[in-house]
Parts: sequence; C-alpha cells; structure tokens
Amino acid sequence: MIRGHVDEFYTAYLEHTLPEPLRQEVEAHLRECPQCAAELTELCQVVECLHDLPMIAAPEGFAEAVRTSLPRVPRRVPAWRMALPAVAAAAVLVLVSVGFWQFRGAYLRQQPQTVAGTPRDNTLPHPLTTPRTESGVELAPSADADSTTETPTTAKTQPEPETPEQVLKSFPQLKDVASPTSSAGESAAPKRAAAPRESQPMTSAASEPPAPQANALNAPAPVPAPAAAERTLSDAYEPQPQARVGRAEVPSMTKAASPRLSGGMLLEFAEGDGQSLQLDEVVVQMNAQVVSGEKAGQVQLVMQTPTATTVRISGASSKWQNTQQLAINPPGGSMMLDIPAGGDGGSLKMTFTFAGKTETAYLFTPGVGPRKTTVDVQAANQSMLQLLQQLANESGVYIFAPGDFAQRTVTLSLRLSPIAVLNTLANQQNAQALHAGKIVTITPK
Amino acid sequence: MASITESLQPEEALVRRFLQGDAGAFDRLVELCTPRVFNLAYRLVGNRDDAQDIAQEAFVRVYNALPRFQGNATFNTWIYRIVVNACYDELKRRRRRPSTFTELCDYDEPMRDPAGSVSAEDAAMRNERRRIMQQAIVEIPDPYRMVVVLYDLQGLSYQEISDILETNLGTVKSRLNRGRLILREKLSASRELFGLTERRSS
Repeated sequence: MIRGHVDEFYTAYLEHTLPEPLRQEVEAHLRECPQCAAELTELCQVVECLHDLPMIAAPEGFAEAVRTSLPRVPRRVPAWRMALPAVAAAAVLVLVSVGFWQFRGAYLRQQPQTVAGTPRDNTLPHPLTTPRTESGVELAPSADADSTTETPTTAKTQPEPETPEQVLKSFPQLKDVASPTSSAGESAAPKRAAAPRESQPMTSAASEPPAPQANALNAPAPVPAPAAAERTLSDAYEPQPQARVGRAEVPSMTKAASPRLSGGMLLEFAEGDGQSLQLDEVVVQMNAQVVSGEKAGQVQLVMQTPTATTVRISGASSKWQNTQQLAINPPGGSMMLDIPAGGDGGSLKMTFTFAGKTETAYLFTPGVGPRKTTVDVQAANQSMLQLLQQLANESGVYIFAPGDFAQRTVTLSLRLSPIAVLNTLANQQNAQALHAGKIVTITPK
Repeated sequence: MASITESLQPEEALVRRFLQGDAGAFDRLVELCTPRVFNLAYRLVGNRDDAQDIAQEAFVRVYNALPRFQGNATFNTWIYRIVVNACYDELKRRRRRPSTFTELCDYDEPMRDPAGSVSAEDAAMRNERRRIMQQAIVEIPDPYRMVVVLYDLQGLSYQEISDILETNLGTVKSRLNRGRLILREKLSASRELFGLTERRSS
C-alpha cells in the first residue's frame, strides 16, 4: 500500500516499469491527488525541455589541442601492418560520421525485423502506410535526401486544390478506426492498402517555401503520383547502412521495440453519450517525419470535424521552429507544417480547440538523447483521464490528463506508428502490436 | 542489445588498431568520440572552457590508459567513465577554488527559419529557456546530475549508466527520478518560461 505521495514512482510510471499492483496504486493515487498529477505533468514538461537541449559543437581546433597535449611516443610498426587496415579504418570512419550526424535520430532503424522476430515481408503493407492511404497523405521520404529530387511532383504542378468535402471523401476509411475490433487493424490494413489511393507527395514541398495559411486551408490537393504512391513508408524508412553505425552512438536505443523512424499518429475523439461533448467526432491525423541531421520533413495534419475547430500545430527543434494555425470549417481541413533540415530532434505540439476546450498533444521526434513521446491531453473529464491512462498502458504512450473535469463518456481510438512508442522500452509487446497496425480501442467503463 | 554491443564497434576497431601501433587511429578515435565527450562535460559543468579542459584531459587519460583497456567493459562505457571521473575531479577542484563560472551557455546560434515564422522573440525565449535549463542542471547535486545527464541527454541505458558510475541499477533509477524532480524544483522560478502549470492545491 502506498503511503503519501507517489513522486518516487514518476519515472518508473512513465516508463511502464512499475510492477502491476504498484502501478495501479500509483494510478489510483494520481487520480485522487491533483498535486501529484500536476507534478507529474510538470515533470514531463521539464523532461521535454531537457530533451530540447541541443548538441554543442566542440570548439574549433579541439582535436588539435588534444593532439598536442598527448604525451605521444612514436611507435614503430612495420608499414605493411598499417597500410591496409588504415585504409579500411578511414573508410569506416567516413561512414560513421555521416551516419552519426545524419542519422543520430535514426537509432531505431537498427532492428527492423526483430520486432516481429522474423524478417519483414516487404509485400505486406506497413501499418504506416495505412494512415497515408486513408488520408491521401504521404510522408516525405526521409533518409534519402536524393529522393526529393526524384519526385517531380511539386505543389505547382498539382491540380486545383480540392474542397474540404472532397478531401473528406478521400479518406472515408478513417471512420473505420472509430469502431475497430481487436483485430481490425490487421485485417483492415491490407484492404486499405489495396484501395485506390491518391497521394500528395510531401517530398516536393520540403524544398519549397511552406504554403501560406490560405493554401493550407485548401490542402491537401491529392494528385495521382504513381511513383510516390508505390513508395510505401516502409520503403522510405528502410534501414540505412549508416543508421547501423549511427546507432552505436546511442546504444540504449537498441532496446526500443520500434524500428521505424517516421511517425504517424491518428487520434480520434468520438462522443459516447451524445450530450456533453459538442463535438461529435474529431479525426486528426498527423504524419510526422523525424527531423534529424540534414533531412527536411513535413507534417501534414488532416482533420475532420463537424464543428468549427481551431488547430494549432507547431514543431520545434534546436534549429527550427514552425507554427501554423488552422481554422477548420466543417467538415474538415488540412494543414501542412514544414520541418526544415537541421536540428536534433524536436517536438510537435498540437493544440485543438473545440467546444470551448483546448486539448494539446505532443509528439516528440528523437534526437541524440532518448526522446519521450508524450501525448498530453488536457482532457475534459475524469473518465477521459482513466481512458487515457488505460490507453497509455496499452499503447505505451505517455499520456497525461489532469483529472478535474466532469464525467463524460468518450470513445477514443488511437493509432500510433512506432515513433510514438519510441522510448517505451518496457512495452515491447504493445509496440509490436502497434507496429502490426493493431488499433487500440478503449471504451470507458 | 547483446548481439550489437558484442559485435565490434568502430571505436573498438580503432582501439585495436591503435594498440597495434597505428597512431593515427587515436586521432580518429578522438574525432569520433568528441561530440559525446565534449557534450557530456559541457552539460555537467555548464561552460565551454571547463568542458574543453575536461574533454581534453579525458582524452589524455584515455590515451594513457588505452594499453590497459581490457575490453571487459565496452569502450563506450569505459570512455564515459573516464569523462565522468575527469568531471568529478574538475568539480572538486572548482569547489576548492570557487570562482570561474564564466558564461553559462551560448545558445545564440541563429535558428534557421525558412518559414519566416520564428520571431526573434520566440528564438530569444527558446535560448533563454535553454540557458536557464543548463544553469538548473548544473545546480543539481552531482550524483543526481550525472544520471540525469547520462540518461536524458546522452541517451544511455540504465545498465550502461550503472556500469559507468559503478552503482547498482536501483540507485541509478531512483537518482534519475530524484534528479528530474530536483530539476523541476530548480526551474520553478521560471515557471512561465517552461510552461509549467501553476496548480498547487492546498
């Protein structure tokens, strides 16, 4: 039995490493103790800010300074012993430094097959392809910077932007997710992947100036982009040889269950009792590309809502920061957030304002250190809180919601691509389930 | 994890080559390790000059100790341990001769802003946040700070930290939690800047 506050368990709780009876006790305490709940939320914010600290470059000439300070004694080694390995070592080193700086966020791509325990079958649709297929959104190919030039489609060549109605028609399957069964994800994923799709390659805009707000309102402008459409996310995020080397810099990350660098997140809020929540349904889809090293990326958010909604999405890293606001008129809208190259990880924050309430979600992209993925929902009620906590346990995502709201019944389905379970080292099974496209659905008791 | 750490890391290959007499391998080792060595030192002591001294000292120690590097620990653990010890020494020295808190952080590097949406004000706030964060880190008592920096900033695992600090796992975990809480406390003066919710119930 816990006596007093539960502050000593915060980190373990966040990492899902508390043994079962204890976890429940901590959770029960968090529900009843606003002080601890607030403290835990703050702790998350502090850790978030901590992770925002960038890598600092060593001063110019540091290596030289080291060299001159060494008590170097000449060693005699036969030239033949050195020559060949030296060449090999030099070659390795190039790979290493490129790998580290470009992919230091990419540690998770190390072990793509180990999640399922068997080599991944490339013919199977990756769960990440599903959100894209549903919404007509495609993530920018990440690792291969070249691919930005491979895809000729640019914003300029796209046809007229569609109306929001058309946009919605392009991802009707989103509703599927609202009532999934335990196996819905796995069975539905192939079906969706096989469905005709229209994609808006996000690749192009990575090198384009970001669309002005007015355009964002009209976006997405799905265009047939065969090359891009055939390019599944699993292709785009195929492990790079460099990543293997880069991972060595962050060995702790090898334990993370997820092999994928990129992220997509689908959050759905659907009202259950039809009363207290003015919003019948909000569908938010966010595809986020990890920002790391030299790559640029984009986040596209597609939202479907029956009532007017304001979405503010902002992303930041040590080297960039970007914010956009989207006013959605029913039934939907879409916006794009550009993420320039550079920086070492960052976070994306989404704020939803509807029915007089504000909800915030964070998605963290990995940088050099472990990046926590947090979905912080300033949710509107106690049952929502329980729901979210349950969700956190099942999905391996950290979710916090202050529990001081009125009762309300909410159904929340959440689909997270593995980026969202980046650091849930303790929750490999769930990560695996997510990886397999399983949708976690929670209905409050 | 095992299969990965057991395979030869580039650092370890370089060590092997160095021990075989390839003096150039050490330069490359320095190059390879400088980011983590320097950043670890920087975050622990909070200023560049001291961090540079520590990092440099650490590399000298590495150089001298390499012939005795047994490969019982991974090279990474080993070099981290050396840096941590060099930091401890510097901190001890500093306490005997308290003075040189020079500049704390230099986060004035311009932020890229292709979208034109980062105001100078936002950038300044972010820099300020980082400066205060760094300052707060430095104020965390040593044992906790070590763990927070190694875990949250260097991305090491509990096991690695436990190896580096030669402390048991439970201690590492509790120090991390404690260290984060202390950090939160230190930052409470700057609540607004960090978006901390002011909700203390009576």
